[in-house]
Formats: sequence, C-alpha cells, structure tokens
Amino acid sequence: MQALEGIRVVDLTTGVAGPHCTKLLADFGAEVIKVEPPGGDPTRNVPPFAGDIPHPDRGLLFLHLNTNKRSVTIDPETEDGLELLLGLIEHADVVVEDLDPGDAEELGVGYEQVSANRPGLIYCSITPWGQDGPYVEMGFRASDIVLQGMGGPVNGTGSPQREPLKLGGSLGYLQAGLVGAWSVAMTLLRVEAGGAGDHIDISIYETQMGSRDRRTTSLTTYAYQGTPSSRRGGVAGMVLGGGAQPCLDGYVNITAIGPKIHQFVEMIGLGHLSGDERLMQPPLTLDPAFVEEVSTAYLAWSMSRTKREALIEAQGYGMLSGVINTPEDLVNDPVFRGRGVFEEIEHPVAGTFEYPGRPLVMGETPREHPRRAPLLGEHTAEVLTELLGVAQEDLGVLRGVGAI
Amino acid sequence: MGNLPLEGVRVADITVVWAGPHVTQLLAEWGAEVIRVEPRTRIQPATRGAERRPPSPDEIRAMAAQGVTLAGYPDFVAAPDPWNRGASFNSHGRNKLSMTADITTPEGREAFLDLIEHCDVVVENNVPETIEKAGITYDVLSKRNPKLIMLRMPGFGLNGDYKNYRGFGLHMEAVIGHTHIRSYPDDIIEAAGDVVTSDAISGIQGAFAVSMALRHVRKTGRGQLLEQPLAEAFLPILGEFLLDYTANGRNTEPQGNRHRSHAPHNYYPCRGEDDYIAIDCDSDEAWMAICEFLGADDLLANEEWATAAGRYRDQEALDRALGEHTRRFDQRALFFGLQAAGVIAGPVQNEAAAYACPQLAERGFFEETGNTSTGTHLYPGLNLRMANTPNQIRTGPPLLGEHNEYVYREVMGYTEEQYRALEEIEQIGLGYAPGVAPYAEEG
Repeated sequence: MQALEGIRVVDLTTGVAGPHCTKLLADFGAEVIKVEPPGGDPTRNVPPFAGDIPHPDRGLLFLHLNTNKRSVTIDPETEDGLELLLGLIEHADVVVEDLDPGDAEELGVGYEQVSANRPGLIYCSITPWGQDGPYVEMGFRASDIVLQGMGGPVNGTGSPQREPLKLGGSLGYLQAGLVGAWSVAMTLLRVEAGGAGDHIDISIYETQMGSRDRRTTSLTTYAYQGTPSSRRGGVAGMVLGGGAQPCLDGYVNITAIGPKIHQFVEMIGLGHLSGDERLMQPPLTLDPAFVEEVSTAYLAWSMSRTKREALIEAQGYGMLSGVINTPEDLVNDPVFRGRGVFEEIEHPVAGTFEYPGRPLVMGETPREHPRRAPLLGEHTAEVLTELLGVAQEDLGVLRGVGAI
Repeated sequence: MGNLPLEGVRVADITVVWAGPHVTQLLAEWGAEVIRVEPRTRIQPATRGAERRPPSPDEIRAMAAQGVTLAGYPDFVAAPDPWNRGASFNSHGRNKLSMTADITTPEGREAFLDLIEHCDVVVENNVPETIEKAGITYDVLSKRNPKLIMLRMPGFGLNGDYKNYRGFGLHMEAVIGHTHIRSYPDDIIEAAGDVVTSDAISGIQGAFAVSMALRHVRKTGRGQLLEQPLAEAFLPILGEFLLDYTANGRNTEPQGNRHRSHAPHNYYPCRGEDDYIAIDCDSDEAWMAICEFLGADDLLANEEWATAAGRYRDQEALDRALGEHTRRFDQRALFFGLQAAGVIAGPVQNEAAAYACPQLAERGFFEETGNTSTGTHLYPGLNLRMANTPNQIRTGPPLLGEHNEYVYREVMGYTEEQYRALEEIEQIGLGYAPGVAPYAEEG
C-alpha cells in the first residue's frame, strides 16, 4: 500500500502553500481533488514556463506543485456549484483551504458548516496570520517575502552592509504547506482510531516563527540574554574559517567545529598551530591578526584547488563540508542521479522532462511514479460522475449555467 | 475536544545537532513520549552545546554584541552545566525526556536495544557509519521489534559515493543549490551568509513521514525503515528552478529577494538603524498606492514604471529609488500605513520585535517553561494550532539524564541491581561523567 491510500482530500487551495500541502498528500497516495475556480489556479500562469511559452499548462511551479491531483472546475458562487462542492466534501476525509478567514463561511463551506454531521472530518486552513488576531481583524495582506521577514530568520541573513536576504524560492509558503501535510497525517491517526477530526489552523507567520532555521534558537537566546540576532554574527561567525570560500572554479563551505579546528589548520598548511589553545576560543573573541593569519593561509589553500578537490580533502579529514552547486551542477551530479531523485514525467502540453521527486524513501509504503499535473478541469466529468453520480446529460446543463 | 493525536506513541531519540531533534520536538509537541538517549561518557558535537571549553560571560557578551545568537545562555552564564543551559538544545528540548546510555558502548547498546522493544519509533540523523559501527541498523532493531519505525536522516543517503560525507544543513543546501539561488543577484556569494533552512524543512518532513508510517503499522502490524537524507528532503523545495533547467536548460542565476514577476519586491531601508520593510507590489494599483503613501511623485512620474513589466525590467534602479523614499519613514509607520493603503508590506523583525508582536501575543504563541538549571523564560511555542485540541508546552527542556529512573525502571522494567550496575560504569547518571567535560569544574 501507499502511505495515504484510501484517503480522499478536497483541495480548495491555490498558489503555493496549500497546493504544496496537498501535493505531499497526493504524492504519498491520497486521492486529491483539486477544485479550481473557473479561471484556474492563478499559479498556472506563473513563470517560468516550459519552453518559455506562457500557457496555463506550462507553468513549471504549477506543474511541480500539482502532481498526482485531479482537477475539477467548480464555481461555488453559483447555487449548483456550491451544491456540487458540498457533495464532494461529504465524500472527503480531508478538506484543505486557504481562503481569508471568514470567506469559507460566507461561501457556505466553513468548518462549522461542513463538519456538523462529520465529527471525523479534518479541515485544514492555511493562511498568512491564522484564523484570528489583530492582523486578521485589520485585514492585513501578506506574502512569502513579508512572512519570512516578519517571522523567519531574515534579519540575521545576508550581509551586514546591505539589505537582509530572504530564503530561496517560496520557502515560507512551502514550509507552511509541509506543516499542513504533517498535521493532516497525524490527525488521521486519531480519526482512524475512532477519535475526532479537527479544524487545523496554520498561520504561515507562526510556521516561520517556530522554524528551526535558527529562529527558535535565536528567540530562546533573546529570552535568555535580551540580545537579538543580526547579520554581523551569522553562522559563519561561530567557526574559524566558516562560510563560503572561493576555489579555482567555484565555492566550497567547510565548517571545522570543536576539536576539528586543529585538523583544519593542519589541512591548510598551518600545522604549527595545531593544538594552539587560541583555536578553541570563540572566533569573534580572537585577536584579528591571528584570524587574518588563518584566513590568508585558507585562501591560498582553497585557491589552488577546484571545489571538488577541496571538498574531497576536507571530507578526508572528516570535516563538515559541501560544494556550492548551481541547479545544473546538481541535476547532473551522478550520485543524485544514481539514487533516483529525479523522475521523468510526460505531459501532453508541457512536454517530457525530469521533476524533483521523492523527499524520502519509505521501505514498506513506496511512492508510485507520479502522475502529471492535471489540465484545467480535466477530471470534472469523471469526478462528478464517479462520486456524485451526476448524469452525463446534467453535466451539459451545469456547464451551461456556469457551475462547472 | 480531542486527545493529542500522537498520544500513546513512544519515540527513542538518538538524534544530534539540528534536523533530527526538530522531528522529535514536533512529535513530542503533539503527544508522543520522546525519550532522548544521550551519552554521558562523551560529548556529541553541536548537540548539547559547549564542546569547546565553555565560554565565559564576557565571551558570551562579546558574541552577543556581534549578533551571534545560536549559543545563548541564561543571563550570559554557561557554567556550571552548559549542556542544560544552551539555547540551541533548549529551543527544541521541551516535552522530551532524557535518559543516558552511550550506544557506542556494549552496555549502552544493550540498554538501547532493550528500550527499542518498548518504542514505536526511533529517529536518528548520524553519519551512516556511526549507526553501522554501533550495530543498530534497521535489520538489527526490527528483529527486536518488528513493529518499529526507524527514521534515518543521513546527509546524502545510505548508499552512493556521498554516503559518509559529513555536513550540516548549510552544507547540504550548498550542494542542493539553495546557497546559489538565494544569494544577492549583484554581490559575491560570501555576502549571503549561511542558513540552515534544510534542518527546518527536513524536521517537519520527518514528522510527516513518521505519522504516515504509524498509519501503516496500525493497518498492517509492520514497521519500516524510512530513509530521508537531509539533502533529498530539501531538494524539491527548489522545484521550479530545477525544472527550469530540466525543461529549458536554464541555469538560474542568484535570485536574492526577487520575485518571479512582482516588482518592487524586496526589503527596503527605514529610518531606524538596521530597520527594513518588506514590500511586495502585486499590481499597478499597489504601485500607485505605494507612491502615494510615500509622497513619491518622482516615482509616479516615471512612465516606464507604471506597468508591471516595466518595473520588473528595471528593478535595480527601482529598488534604489524606492529605498530613498522608504528610508525617511519609521518602520512601524510604513507597516501600518502601507497595509492601510492595501499594500502587501511588513517589517523585518528581530527577536525583540517578535516578542512584542500583538498578533503573536493575542494567539499565545510564546509560552513559559524551563528547567531547574535555567529557571523559566518565554519560549517560542507551537507552529500549528488545532481549534478543538488545546495544546501547550507540557514540560521544559530536560536535564541530561533527568529521566533515567523513569525510563530504566518503569518503561524498561530494569531491576535495582541492573540500574546500579549501569550507574557504576557511568552509563547512568545526571550530567556528564567525571572527566568528560573537564571545564565543568572551572565554573
């Protein structure tokens, strides 16, 4: 069996966070019905596009986030559309939605409305601030860069000489979607043991504030010492020689923690310093001249090697290290390829190419090769017929009134 | 009202550093009984902190003054027991129990194997060879407990040339391409600094994986091995950039704070020192609202910038020009003013601002907890809520070895004699064994 086999999810989300949540559920075997508004999930039109041709079935972010789902177009603002949507929800174990708090109720698909006779229903809401609080009451808008900046470790990321840096891609949204998938999976354990479902309330802001990317640690440090993080310190500031280091053909990052620092100086040709007491001091408290001596030798060492040579040497010393790759470097890396992390998927419009695949290997409940993202409304007839028994001739009528 | 969804699940936790402990933190928060199995006869790097000699209060203050916050201690004091007082451990330790046993010794290994018989899950994120040398791979453990779920989180996988490569999240992210993608588009890569986002992502991913595997055990009675390399768990996060290469052959350049179509989209300086505001302009109307709020007639007058495409083409100049206006304003005034004008905006918040945030306060995000060494403080709380399942931090971060009695005697059923015997060889005890952390006596 696949891990989430037998679970049906009605997915009312668009964008990145919600679709990432339901992608994870779908990729591990849940049946996900993506209910799209008549114009489709706007992410269909987000660049980059396959072949650089703007088209709702060529958006690469959309194609990535919607594997293994079926697409149904329903306009819940029509009477018939709402009835169909409520019908689908009746057949679902899980609903995931990302509407502004209050909007689902207005539409008629709020948690209280759809769970009245369904105590086992899991209803997961993913919103910027959560379901309540002053920022919700004031109608504050948000997006990934805002939520990362407010909640995440952004104030300590980047150069002290300039503006801070967010994390790559839509990381805040993706992380919140992942929290959503986890929360649904663990609540399923309770429901399948005969317990209650729930209204899961995910605030993307709080998923950032509770993030183990340094934030929870720096918050705890602030509680302990009253000292905030900044871009002057960073991670590299804790380790002599830490941070990106230029080589002949790119960069390597070597972190010599604890006693490894003695081997580090040996590796870079400063063997006479190995065992020196000063190496065990926090680097920021060291004499700058001493730090300069080490970094000069390190630069001479790294600039006479390729990044791969530097990496192999550092790993030979058992030192924490990695090369700085571009997407091209990674996709062509024989080790990643050999482990099968990329999966080729055919798509009738976008074409055939490799997608980043599994985040993990499950020994007993393996993922199946993924199905491509759906065309807009591709499964409307199939799903409505199969789940709600809508007759073929009625589909035409529903189309006519704009319900589907 | 529901019980916590993971109530009744017991987890043996032999994780180190960051990502693994995050998995067990999340499982513990929602009801699992998480037992950390920790050595007291050797120090695990970067796990309970202070593997160098312990920093003095002056050194801690000096680091704090530089903005280093991954090694904080209550009131700047690490001594006498830094392993119970460090922020990096204590930020994930809540709700967990701590027993001592060194899995790399025969006696510690035997105790661990006995514990496994009473557990549903074991989580580890060591270098693969460590687990192999200790003789506690899945085939060994599953013989003792066929229902066991074992989550392994190596850096790069349990096979392949990188199998035993050592790295933190920041190294895996470099390999995956995150460092490259998130660097400034107009600066050297060193300027980007290090992040450990993959620890956060793979921590949550691990909790997701364990939850799914628990479902499978309940249906089939069979446990399983979950192999979740840190690098591979993080890789799909960069999906659209990897697809741009596999579909279009494009090797995406560093993106920094850029959006794929919005401009302006960046962090802009405010009047206060090191104060920045995020502004995300998602429409031409928003652009006009921004300019009007700032009184930026010169920006409005630029016809090139009236359209999204024009702004996107010219974003470096646009960012500079916009920054000249934002830097005249107070950060909070910009936040509330721009939001009132319907613009997506928000302050870059340091920890002081986070603790003062009314939204977090109203939702009760921060919670008081602690242990006998640290006293109580306000800690960051749960990263999700369930409306019908009230939840909060139940116990503070455990002292090293605090729950030996409970785990060995009650969970594992060891006799008084067995317990004493392990005490005598320093497997069981409170804090590190004599001589392991020589600096303890300095405090």
